[in-house]
Amino acid sequence: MKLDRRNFIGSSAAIAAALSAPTVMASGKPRVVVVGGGAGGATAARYIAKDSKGAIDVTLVEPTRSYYTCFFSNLYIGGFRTLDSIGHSYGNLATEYGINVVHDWAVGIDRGAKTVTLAGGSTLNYDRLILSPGIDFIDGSVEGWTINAQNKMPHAYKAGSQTELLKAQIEAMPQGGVFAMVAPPNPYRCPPGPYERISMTAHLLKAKNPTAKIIVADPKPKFSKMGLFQEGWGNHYSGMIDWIGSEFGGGNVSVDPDAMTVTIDGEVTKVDACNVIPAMKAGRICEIAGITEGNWAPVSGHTMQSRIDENIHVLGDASAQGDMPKSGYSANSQAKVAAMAVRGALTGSKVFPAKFSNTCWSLIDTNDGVKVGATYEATDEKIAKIDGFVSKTGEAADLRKATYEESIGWYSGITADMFG
Amino acid sequence: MKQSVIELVKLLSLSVPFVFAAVTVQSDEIDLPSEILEIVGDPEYGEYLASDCKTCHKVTGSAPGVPSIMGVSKRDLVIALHAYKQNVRKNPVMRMMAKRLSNEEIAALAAYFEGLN
Repeated sequence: MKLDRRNFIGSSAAIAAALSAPTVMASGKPRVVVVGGGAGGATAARYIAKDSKGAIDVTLVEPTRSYYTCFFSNLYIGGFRTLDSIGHSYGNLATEYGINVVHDWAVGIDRGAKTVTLAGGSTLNYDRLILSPGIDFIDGSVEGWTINAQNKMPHAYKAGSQTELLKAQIEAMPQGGVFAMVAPPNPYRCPPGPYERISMTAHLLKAKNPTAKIIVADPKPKFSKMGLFQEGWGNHYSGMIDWIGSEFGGGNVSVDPDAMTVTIDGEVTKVDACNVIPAMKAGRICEIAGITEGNWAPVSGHTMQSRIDENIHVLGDASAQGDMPKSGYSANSQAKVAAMAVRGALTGSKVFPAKFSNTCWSLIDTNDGVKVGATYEATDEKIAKIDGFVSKTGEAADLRKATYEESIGWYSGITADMFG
Repeated sequence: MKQSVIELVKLLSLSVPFVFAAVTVQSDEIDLPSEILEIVGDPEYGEYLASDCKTCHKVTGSAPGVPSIMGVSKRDLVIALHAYKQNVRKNPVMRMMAKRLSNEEIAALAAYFEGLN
């Protein structure tokens, strides 16, 4: 017999039990389904399983068996990391934390029935659902580019084979060839990411193809850590990088993947490799669930609960939460707040006020690391910035080296925090 | 063989300062009143607050560039965090993290991390 809350409440004892642990009483162990095994989803699944000590059934749905982190994928392009070193599996989450890891695509969500349908045909029931699907691209945002062109002009903004392909294309450029990037409009995943990628591409080309040129068509007038990157490009890659911001027509861009041309403000350029990073939106499953407004899924900063459905929490890039940048660090931070809120709701465990933080490290050249960071708190309106810092231009080389080494430590820490 | 031993020694000498050194505290680093040092922290609250630390500081082992803080003595962690909070220590990430922590929250973190021996 399946009980629900309406037919369950019959006696005062039952009411007390239902209030203290409603879902436990309704259906055995409460069930949490997490969709997406990146910095948000893997962390949330791990913290819920670890801290509930078996009191909550956790299922993690993630299509890939080997997950490549988007963060540090630029360092692979620059030759500072191998692809293997940014790949992670879900073995520990299954064996050490008892998480039911399902490698499949979530293709449907019935919010009334509280079920998730998988591409393989099975259906998962949930008491709380956590969506952490990352980003998808907005069709038609770069004229001439569709997802079908991703092999000729890779986005490389979901790490793995796309990153590998982009690096191979950069390495195959003829001497003195042209690399172009079409940068994305705000808001997008990893604000300094495109510019770290330019730095790493320049690093790679400087060694193997020093007369090559890099053109960036940017729909924005300014970007994250702009002063730091531009100083670094001048110091390390003088004369190599031509950044064309919106004031100079960088937003008026189209591409022809078959002809390998990029047209910026009417000027056609033949290119040898081209990285198109389109405009972004929440991963499609958020639209399917019907919890998006515009391109993103609005959430409460106190718990990361969807503003449209309180049984769903949305983490990371896909969420519209306020002041935090879309980064792996942010998603990891938000996951811990959501995990605490979910445990509180399902098992009555203690809930503390939400605290968030973020730091983004970027590598400009060998041992030249920079960082930007901030702390945040939840208000009723949004996640609001409290305080922050950013590396300064003109810093000493030993400080920049220490910043880079710190980023390596962070990578090791956050991936252990995600995958156990 | 000889080469690999040399490599190992090099590796150890590189990683030692990061692995073992950073949580040491100088006795005259900052002046903390005894009532702050004696606050008894709530380790359960400390565990929640510590989830923020674990993004960079690994629970087991350590990594270059970020020191291990697992099992560090309560007194050392309290002094280190107050040294960041008072801008005596330099790292901007740690200054920012420590700045928003109350005296009670620092005590809670110290109580939690000391228990992780």
